[in-house]
Formats: sequence, C-alpha cells, structure tokens
Amino acid sequence: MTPRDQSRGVAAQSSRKFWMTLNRISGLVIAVLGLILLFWIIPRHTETVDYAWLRPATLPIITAVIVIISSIVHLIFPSGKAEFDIALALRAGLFFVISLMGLSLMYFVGFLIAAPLLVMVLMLLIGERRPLWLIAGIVLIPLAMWSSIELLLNRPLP
Amino acid sequence: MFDANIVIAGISDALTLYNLFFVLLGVIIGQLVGALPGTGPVMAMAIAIPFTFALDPLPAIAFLVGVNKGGLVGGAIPAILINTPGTPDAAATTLDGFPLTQKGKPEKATKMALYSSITGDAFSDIVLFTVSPLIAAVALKMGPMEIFALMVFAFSVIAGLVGDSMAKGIVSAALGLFCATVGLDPEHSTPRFIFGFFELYDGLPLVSVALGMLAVPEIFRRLAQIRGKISPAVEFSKTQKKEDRRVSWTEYWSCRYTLLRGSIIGTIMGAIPGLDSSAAAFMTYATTKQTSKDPDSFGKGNIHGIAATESANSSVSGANLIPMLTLGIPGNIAAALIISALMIHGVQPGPLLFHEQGRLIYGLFGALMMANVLNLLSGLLGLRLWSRVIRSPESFIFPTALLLCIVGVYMATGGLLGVAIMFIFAFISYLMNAFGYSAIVFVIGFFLGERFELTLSQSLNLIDGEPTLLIYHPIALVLFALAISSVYWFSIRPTKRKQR
Repeated sequence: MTPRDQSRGVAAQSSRKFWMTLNRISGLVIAVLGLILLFWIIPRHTETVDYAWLRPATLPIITAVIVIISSIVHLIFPSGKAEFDIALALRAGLFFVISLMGLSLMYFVGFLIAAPLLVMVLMLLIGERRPLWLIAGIVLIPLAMWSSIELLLNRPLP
Repeated sequence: MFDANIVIAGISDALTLYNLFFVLLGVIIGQLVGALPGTGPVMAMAIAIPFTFALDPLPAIAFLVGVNKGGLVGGAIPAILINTPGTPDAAATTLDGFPLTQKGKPEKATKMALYSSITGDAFSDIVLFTVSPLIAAVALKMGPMEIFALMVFAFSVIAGLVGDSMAKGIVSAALGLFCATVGLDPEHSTPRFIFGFFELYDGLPLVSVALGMLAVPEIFRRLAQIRGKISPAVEFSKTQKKEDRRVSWTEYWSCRYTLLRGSIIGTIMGAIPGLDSSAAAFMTYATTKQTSKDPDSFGKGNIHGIAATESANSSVSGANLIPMLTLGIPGNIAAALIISALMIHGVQPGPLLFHEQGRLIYGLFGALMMANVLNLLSGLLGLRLWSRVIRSPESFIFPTALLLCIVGVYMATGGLLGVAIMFIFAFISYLMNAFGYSAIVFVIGFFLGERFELTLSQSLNLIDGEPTLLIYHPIALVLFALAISSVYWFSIRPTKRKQR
C-alpha cells in the first residue's frame, strides 16, 4: 500500500467517523426539539381544558414525549446513517432561496411575470443554453399553465 | 354486505367514456413520467392531486391509479435501455434488462417487462377484488379501541420497515402525528398551533405537506445534481432481427412459474404496510435465481430475471390498496397519496368505505381493471415514444415540475400561505432525508393523525380512563402486544445480533 492510499484510507475513516457522530448528534438535536415542543410550544399554543380524557394538549404531549424518548434511544444506540453532501446541499439551498424569491415576486408582480423569470433563472443556473428548450421552459410552459388555469378553468393565479 | 347491483353499477361507472379517458390519461402520464429518470409516478401523483379537485371522486382516483400503474411500466424503460431505473421500483430490472439491451435486444426486453408488469398487476388486482370485501367485513366489527390499536401496530411496522432505523422511524411518525394536530382539536374545537394564521384552523393543508415532503425536495436535489450536458439515450438499432423485437408466446409461457412467483411475493409484500415494491422485486429475483437450473445466466440478460422483477414490483401496487381500502392504513406512499385524494374529495377510507361508498369502490375496481388493459395497449403503442422521452433534458423537466407544484398548491389552498407551507416542509424533508429520518413515515403519520386522535379520544371515553378495562378488548390487546413485539423484532433483536 502506497502512502497515498494510506492517507486516503485515513481520510475515509475519519469522514465515516464524522458522519457517524453527526448521525448520533441528530438524536440530540431532535431530543432538544422535543423538549422545546413539550415545555415551550405546546403550553403556549394549546388551550387549557379541565374536563374530558383527551384534552387539546394530550396528543401533542404524547408525540413530543415519544420524540424525546426515541431520539435519546438513538443518541445512546445510534443506528442507520447520515449522508450529507455539503456541496450538493448548498446548491439545493441556492435553488430553494431562488424559488422563495420567485414566490415573493409572484406575490408582488403576479404569476405571468414571476413564473417565466423563475424558470429562466433555474434553467440558466443549471447550464441550459439551447434556445429551443429555453423558449419551451420560459415561455411555453408558464403560458400554457396560465391560459389553462386562468382562461379555461377560470381560477385565479397569483 | 355483498350487493350485486352495487358491484355492477360501480363497474359500469368505471366503463363510461369519461372515466376511461381519465384512466387512459393517467396511464399515459404515468408511463411518461416513469420513463423520465428521477421523476416517477409518486411525484406525478403528488403534483396531480390538486388538479383533480375539479373532478368527481371516481375519475379523480381512477386518474391517480392510472398514473401509479403507468409509472410502474414506464420506470422499466430507462432501467432496461440506459441502466438507470426511472423509478426505484425498477432498480432490480436493470440486472437483466440492461444486459439484454447490450446484446442488441432492447425491444424484447422492454416488451417482456411490459407483459410481466401487466401480469403481476392483474394478479394483485384480482386478489384485491376478492379479499378486500372480506377483510372490510371483519374490520367493520372492530370498535375505536381496536382501530386505534391497529394504527399503533401499523405505525410500529412501518417505522421498522421504512428507513434505516426503528428509533428514527418512530420519531418521523410522531412528528407527522404532531403536525396533524395543527388546527381545531376534535373534542373541544379549540385552536392549536395556528400562530395567528386563521387559515390554519382547518389544519395544515394535505396537499402542501404531501408535495413539500415528497416532490419539492426531490426536485431541488435533482436540480442540484445536474452538472454538464445530458447524455444521449440509447437508439434502437434498425438491424434488429424480427425475433429480437418481440416476445413470443413460447417465451412468455416459459416464464409462467417465474411470473406467478413474482406476483405472489409482490402481492403478499404489498399487503403488508411499509414494504415497498423494490424489496419485492429483489426478493423475487433472488428466489428465481436460486431455483433456476441455470443461475449463472442471471445478470447476463436472462428474460426470467426481467419477468421476476417486473411481475413482483407491479403486483405490489394493487395489493397495497388492500390495507388502505379495508382498514384506512396506507401500505406505501402511493396509497398514502390516494388516501389524501379520497379525503380531499370527502371520502373517508376505512372499513365503512365498502358500506357507505360501495359504488365508488367497485368503480375503482373497474378502473383498476381497465388501467391494466390500457396500460398494455399504451405500452405497446408508446414504447418507442417513451424511449425517446428519456432524452428530454432535466433542465426543462424539473423547473417545470417546480412550477406545477407551486400552481397546484396555490389552486388547492387558494393562497400563497399554502405554497409557503409547502416550501417549509420541503426544507424539513430535505434535512430529514439527509439524516436518515423517513419522510414517507412522516407523511403516513400526518395523514393518519386526525383519525388517530379521534379513535384515541373515543377509546379513552370507552374505558373511562381505566386501563384494566382493556381486558374487554382482547383484539386490541393482541394488537398492542404485536406492536411491542414488532419494536423488539425491528430494533432490539438486530442490535443484539450485531453485538454477537
């Protein structure tokens, strides 16, 4: 085995350890979420009722307790795996943010302007440069949706 | 219980041109999206649900069933032609399908997949028609306590089978149940977790949660994965021999035991909530290979390999409607989406469904039968067309799918809040999937949440909060015991084995 292979092996092993730790930590995060639900969100967002077996908070409390117990079990005896490609996640996050911006634009300027812009940005960002496919995605599809919903179904779009 | 008039009326409803049109449309769309790697029938069904609002329940459900069935056929095409399964169900089909294409017989391989798929599908539908009314009759005798216990048992099985860890599965189901409690509580009608949004009095919109958890994160994932140009798909060679372009009756008949085995395994696995069709396909493939006289030929383009996997994965689709129609428990995500569509159309799945909506259910059975026939015809006529569809660029498909999700949810919820909720759940789903928490279990928990809380309330009132009174509900006790044993079976037992 060459030193390069050895260093690759060490890197792979430390990467595996990192993801295993992250998998375990996900249990801790979920347990904290369960505690927040149990002690902060549920008491503040349910009404107190002093009769009946099933109160408004009963099922939410049961589910929060189950979440806490199961995540603690996962924290102590972790199984399964966490797979998180950071570069891919960041890229997906970028598309997520662009979509949210497209949605906000739809709120202010309407579907007919915002939808083609959203599709155009997404297609260009992916690397699509072929004019025919760009026209189909940016012009034809939003127009077909708008005409079939606004004109045929007579339902409003933003 | 059995009324021939209702059966005939229901089936004749399905055979009207109007309903057949929607079945055919569903099958064509299903085959189309199935043939596109990365999309698949689940995404198509999720996107289509809001568009079915304008339809009556039968054409709406028939359309969704058509999409699901068509998707199973379509998914095999890229698996065979370009070694990329269009849907996860078709993953096992690549094992022998692609080698057969490499041997210059792509049309034979795709046609065998089509015939096998239809055979398995028809088999499981026949089992569904005959078994479901009987199970529903038994289920009708169950009270709220038994139904509650059954749901607890179903959750324990689904949490154990779907995803990579029992603890994570339980967390997902519990979070799904928690989200289902948003809105007015069933007993006192007091608002919960509405955070000042009066639109949430009715709870979180089903469509927003379904699309947000299942379709949108997949679209973002696929968009993020696109790098460079789309590679060209396979071309059908014009020099193929005639016998390599078709499947003869002798070849089909030689696979009869393989097809039967695949259909039986798929039907049994489909009827158990939580097991997916890819598991059935791989299990049948392994069994067929083990029992074959020539096991070495598997993986090198053996037609029996395609017959085994496709009959198994398609037979799951009919069988997973058994627990859905009879008990109201979705067997897999496609069934969960059909449940949500039924609920949106005001139909409550469960044992009473046969009694209250018999005509609709037998109409659905008729639509299932017709979907098989139309799937075969559409598959035979459209095979070459679908193989060209594989060449459509992802850069066009996924932005379009995202726009369809936005438009669909906006139409269904009547405002941008529903769309915003969809994006919030897409974010949650992305994180859940990255850390191995199943979005599917979450969605099933969410769909069943309302009924779960109602039966819990009724059960507590029945026993007046006194646990010892449970002895008068032996079936519920058995189901609770089964739930505990399934937790042991799926989590503690494998851990002990590993330690050994």
